[in-house]
Amino acid sequence: MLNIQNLKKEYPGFSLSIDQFHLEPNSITGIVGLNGAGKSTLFKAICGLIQINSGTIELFGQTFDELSKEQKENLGVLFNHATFSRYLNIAHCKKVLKAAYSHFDEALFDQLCKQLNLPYDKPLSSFSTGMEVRFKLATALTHEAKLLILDEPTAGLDIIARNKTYECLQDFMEKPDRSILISSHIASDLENLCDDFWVIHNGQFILHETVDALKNQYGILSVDAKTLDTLDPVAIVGIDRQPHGIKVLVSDRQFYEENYPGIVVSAGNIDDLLTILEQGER
Amino acid sequence: MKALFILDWQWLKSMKFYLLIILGLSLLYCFVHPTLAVVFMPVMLAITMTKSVSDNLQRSTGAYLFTLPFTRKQYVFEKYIISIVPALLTSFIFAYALGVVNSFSKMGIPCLIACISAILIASLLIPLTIKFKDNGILVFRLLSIAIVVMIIVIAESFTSPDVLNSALFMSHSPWIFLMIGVALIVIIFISMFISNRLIQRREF
Repeated sequence: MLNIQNLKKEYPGFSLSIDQFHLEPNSITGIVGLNGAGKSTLFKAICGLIQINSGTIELFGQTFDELSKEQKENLGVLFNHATFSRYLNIAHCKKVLKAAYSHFDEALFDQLCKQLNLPYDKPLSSFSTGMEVRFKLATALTHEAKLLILDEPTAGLDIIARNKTYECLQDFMEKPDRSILISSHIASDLENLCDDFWVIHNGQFILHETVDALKNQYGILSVDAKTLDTLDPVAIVGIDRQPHGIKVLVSDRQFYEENYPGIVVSAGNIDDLLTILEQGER
Repeated sequence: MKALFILDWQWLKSMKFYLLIILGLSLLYCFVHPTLAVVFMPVMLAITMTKSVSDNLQRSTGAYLFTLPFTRKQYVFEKYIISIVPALLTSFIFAYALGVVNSFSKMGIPCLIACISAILIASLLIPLTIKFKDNGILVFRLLSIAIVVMIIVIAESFTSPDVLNSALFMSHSPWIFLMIGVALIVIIFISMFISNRLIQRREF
């Protein structure tokens, strides 16, 4: 569905460099990283919004420029910063979407707008951040897309709106041969939704793992400096030295639970993983 | 491409107050200066439509727009159509309407100036807008209007309209119109080529 090989995009002071990335059908993949790590740049490169310096990005087996209209219709995109012109209202946007997409589902669009409490007659300029995100989600979900590319789809949403977003995305995945590539700052988004995730740091992927492995195999050890020296490094992924103690991210929690019974071990989660990988030693 | 036309139609509707002022001025010129009336509306329409490009190319709008299922080449093509065709139609309508009231022979030159101006303005302003966005080309917009007004004034001051009419319309020489037509098509083609190159390089 999506293949990236040797992608390079260089800006002054920042470089995105992705050796390999694949997104298979019927999967939800998350991209995790701090602000400025390169998530949005990667998404823009995939959608042809920026020119890459080298490498290839293939969507449905074609580069973005080679995609036919029908293939482009298979793409549903939500960028946090991008939207229709702000003088338009939803009724106007609906006309444009209906003309743009041959499989635009008007009834579903109306239903989603109603479900997400979006007013038809108010200009987008009057929308709150949450309303804008919900509207963009409705536009991405209503033309029978096969691949959704969602950059921070839950940014600015309250917990109820976030849950509604999860429901919408889970409904989307009920049909076969569909995939979602999603980035988010909110770890629970990715832990609840994704099958696997990639950690991006300074424009490079530094870890790829499944969410199940993270939850069931990864662990965080809380140790002091003395204990750290005694640990077998075989499954240590990262170490974060803090004033009040040391946190160690390990990829085999069970191994340390069995061999170091005195150590406090907690289950892995994306927030801790990201903090240790970003701030600590790898 | 239908979606792009609808988008531009919505954009035009959002500019209705501005368009009504232009129409009002054009109607006023019909009584005081019919020649200017034929030229003013089409030229302003061409300038206005090229302004939609700068709106589309705002970072947030462009990033959404260019993920929709059309190519950047189609986008450029649509912008030329929407900037030139309505301007030409308007000049024909004004020339015909004023020709009925005054004289058709007097409206030929203004109609020709309007068509040439609209095509040249669109061909100049579209690539400039893609390259420099809105602020950078404000001066070119004002310059375009000034040049068109100057052409009309000079044409009317130093040349009798009848002389120009005889030279162009009464000579029955299709070559003059053919050459003008070919030159304009070449200009549009070159401008479209440049615009297409510029839009392909633009990042959002």
